[in-house]
Order: sequence, then C-alpha cells, then structure tokens
Amino acid sequence: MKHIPTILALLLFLQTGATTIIAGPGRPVSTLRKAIELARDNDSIRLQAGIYKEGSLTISRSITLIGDNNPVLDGESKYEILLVSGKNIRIIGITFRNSGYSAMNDFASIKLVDCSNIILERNTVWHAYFAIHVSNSIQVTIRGNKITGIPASEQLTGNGIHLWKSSGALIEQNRVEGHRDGIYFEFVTGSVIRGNHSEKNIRYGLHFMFSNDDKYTNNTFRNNGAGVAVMYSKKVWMEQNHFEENWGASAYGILLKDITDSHILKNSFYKNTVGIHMEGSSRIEIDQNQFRNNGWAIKVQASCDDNIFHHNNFTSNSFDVGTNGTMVLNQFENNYWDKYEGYDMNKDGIGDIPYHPVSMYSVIIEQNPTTLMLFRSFMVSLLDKAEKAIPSLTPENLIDNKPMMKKHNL
Amino acid sequence: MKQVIISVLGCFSFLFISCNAGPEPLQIGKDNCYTCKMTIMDPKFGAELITDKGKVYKFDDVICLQHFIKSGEVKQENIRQQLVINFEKENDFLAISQAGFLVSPGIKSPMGSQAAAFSTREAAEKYNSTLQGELLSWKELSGKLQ
Repeated sequence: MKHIPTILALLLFLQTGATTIIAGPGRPVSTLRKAIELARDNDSIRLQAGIYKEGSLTISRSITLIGDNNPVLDGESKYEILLVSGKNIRIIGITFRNSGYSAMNDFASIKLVDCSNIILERNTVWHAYFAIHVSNSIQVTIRGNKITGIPASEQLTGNGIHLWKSSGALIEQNRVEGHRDGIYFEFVTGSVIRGNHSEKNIRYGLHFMFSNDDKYTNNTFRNNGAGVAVMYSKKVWMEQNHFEENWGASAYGILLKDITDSHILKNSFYKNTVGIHMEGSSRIEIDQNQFRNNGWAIKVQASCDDNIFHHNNFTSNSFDVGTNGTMVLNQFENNYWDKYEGYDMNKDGIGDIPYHPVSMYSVIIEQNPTTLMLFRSFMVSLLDKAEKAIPSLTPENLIDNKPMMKKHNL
Repeated sequence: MKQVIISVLGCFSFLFISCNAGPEPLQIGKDNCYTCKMTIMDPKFGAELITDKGKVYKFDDVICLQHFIKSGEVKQENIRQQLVINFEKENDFLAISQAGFLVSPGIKSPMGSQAAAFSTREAAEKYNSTLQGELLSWKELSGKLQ
C-alpha cells in the first residue's frame, strides 16, 4: 500500500517526461536537426510549416515526428533525406522532395534500417530515387502515403515502397506512381498489402520475389509497364485486387513465375494483354475471378501443374486460354465462358458438352506469333470450327467438363 | 565500269555486315530477361548468350544466364559467345571468361547473384575497398551459382 504514492509519482514523472518540441522557423528550435538532437525517447516533435533544407537527418530514438500544415524536407537532389534506425518511431504528415541519386547505394527519401515497430503515415514523397526503403525490419506500417516519381528520369528511378528482408509489414492505402516498381518485396514474410493504388510505374505495379506467406487484397494496379510480377514465392494470398490496362508486348495482369501453394480469388482482370501468365507454378487455386476484355485471359505454360481454375467468369477475351504444350496437368471446372456454344438439356445450369478453352488459332500463335496478322479472318474462324468438331492440334485434355450456362454472380 | 562494280558491291555490302552477328545492346525498360521474364531495368547488370546461328538471348543477371545454360535449352556446342555487362559502363559487353567478378551482399543485382562484372581485376578491386566482397572469375562464380 505504501508504494502507491511512489508509483503515482513515477507515473507523473513519465507523463511529464514525454515532452513535445515545437520546431520551425522563428521558434526557439528552428531546425529539425536541432529538434532531433534534443528529443529523448517518447518525445514528440511538431514540425511547423516551412521548407527545410538540412541535408541528411538520422532518427534513432523512439520519437514521434508530426508535421503541422505540411512542412517540406528538401533533399536538394543531393541527400538521402531521412534515415531511421530504431524502434517505436512514428513519422506523420511530412512532405519529402528531391532526394538524391547514387549509383552504388539505394538512396531513399525515407530509409528504414534495422527497425522495429515503425509507423509512416500520411507523408508525401515527391521526386525521389527510392521513396520509402525498408531493410532488415519488423512490424513496419506504411499507411496513407502519397508517392510520386518523375518518370522523365526513366531508368534512374528506384522503387516506390521497397522492402527487403523484413517481416510483419503492413502496407495500406498508399498511392504510388511513376517509379520503377510501385511496391517491391524481396525476402519479406508474413506481411499484408491492402487497399493500395499503384499506377503508371515503369516496370511493375507490385513485384514480389522470394517472399512467402504474404497477402495482398483490395489493391488496384493500373497501367503499369508490365503489370504485376509474383515470383519465386510460396503461400501468397491474392484477393479482390484489380489488374487493369496493362498493355504491351510483355505486359501481364499478373506474371506468376515459380509460385506454389497460393490462392487467387475474386480479382478482376480487365484490358490486359495477358490476364494471368503462369510459368513453373503449382498447386494454385484460382477461383471467382473475372476476366474481361483481355487479349489472353490466361496463359498456362506447360511447366505448371496441379492448378485448379473454377467458378471464374471469362467474357470478351480475344483468347480464353493459351498454352505451349500438349500435356495438361491443370484442371478447369465450373467456369463461365462466353464463347461456349453448348446446350443444357437437363436444365441443371451446367453445359452438357465440355468446353475447349484453347482455340486452335491460339495454339498456332503460340508457335508462330506473326500469324496474329490473320486474326479474325475467315480462314481462321473456319479452322477453329473444324478443330472444335475434330480436335487434332489443341490439347484434348484441356477442357472444362462442367461449363456454366449462366455467368457467375461475382 | 569500275565505278559501277564498286557501287554494286557497295549496295550489297550490307549483306556482309548483317551476317556478322554480335551482341545486341540491352534496351533498358523494354527487353525482358529470357529466364526470369523480368523487364531489364538496371543498366549495371545483364548478360547475353549468342548461339552459332546468331540468336541472341538476353538476361538481367548472370544467375539467369547460368540457369539458362544449365537448362540445356541451347546445347553447349551451339553457344558461340557468352557476354556480361560491364558494371562501370552501360551496354559495354565483356567476354564472360575474361571478366572479373566482384561478389558481395552489398551488390544488389536484379536476381540476387550479388555479382558485378568488371573489365579487369584491378577495376573490381577498386570497388571492393568498401564492399569487402570476393573477387572471382566466371568459372569460379558459375560453380557457386545454383
């Protein structure tokens, strides 16, 4: 009982121990550098509006840095603006612009190294090489940031949100455009990417490499150089994303390369050259997706096996499925295909004859791309009809035995 | 008459030039790596393999070249040239057997080989002062890449 006053006093001390430093032009603490020097663990810095050109700054204590009325940190195209290395740090509402470029190091506007429990929220990054660069960190939350690269500098642009060897990250509600890859994961596990918007990036909207047990949901990837690439990873969960308008000779909604044990569901693929391109991938379940107005809805290379496609809608695609081999180790079931011309005598909603999603012409194109010139010509449709009646070139096992008569309500 | 012959020969000379297959420059942001399918974006890394018929395969990282050679898609006897990009100069191709490689975790190559190629061992050593990596020949490096 007699300890209570001591505890209370301690609590009071802790309370008053955390101070708030107000920094800004005309204040006693006029620079951010000074404010960071003064701040102790658990302190806050409120940075007032203004333009700060202070070179490279480092935060290593557990502080909260909040921008009032949008202060701007300018890297003058020379410096890496903010280096963060520590735990329990929050950075909120600050604009970073013109960070520098280096050929050897990945210069970033905000760089997190060996961190844990960090929150980056509602910041704006403009004209950076790498915008947010995270390595060797755990429990990093990157939420509601707006990142804009200037693509005029083409190949000299880095990634928007770049994570390397990290775990437990949450990337949420960010907007990234004009970078090399919008969001980049390499050796990142147990992380979530949710509700982001990645657009007009030079290469990929999202790029996954060697990153297992991750989940990305409700994101929009639009008009990126080559779409989204998910490579060399296991157990990736992809749900309710939008893959739109990725046009180009080698652009894909998603490029899946060496992916196993993953689940792709309820996504929408609209106006891509290829909706999903799969190579060396196995045990992926692909269901309840919508494929609309794509060149190819799906391209499955012969190196894929044990994948199952069910309850998807395929509408207005030039080709439904393309493949480069005759061996078929993947399964199609209960999909709706708008090109299906069968009938349903017993009225159970399932077509009575199987559907062949690979047309003869798509087999020919796979072997000889220049024949695309004859697309929609009379001869080609004639050949396709003949092939349908007597299959000879198309893989005969690649069929949907239970094609739906009506579109799934997705 | 002599002039006619020369001009006719001149007209056909392009035939001889076009037969002379060499490396094709990597178009950054346009070309794809043949193995990993990624768009080639980093001008400091990359490799090419040219077959005896002059077909050029492009790669974004030497590890992708190594995987391609191992896959056996092109037979060993049909390979005419193997080239690697000079780390110090964009689209400068070096014969892979003569290049010096610097391997260090500090080198962020596109597909994780962590190897940069240099024209000479000295050039590689110059970079190595900060990186503390290993200097290897292609023979030594290719044995390590899996």
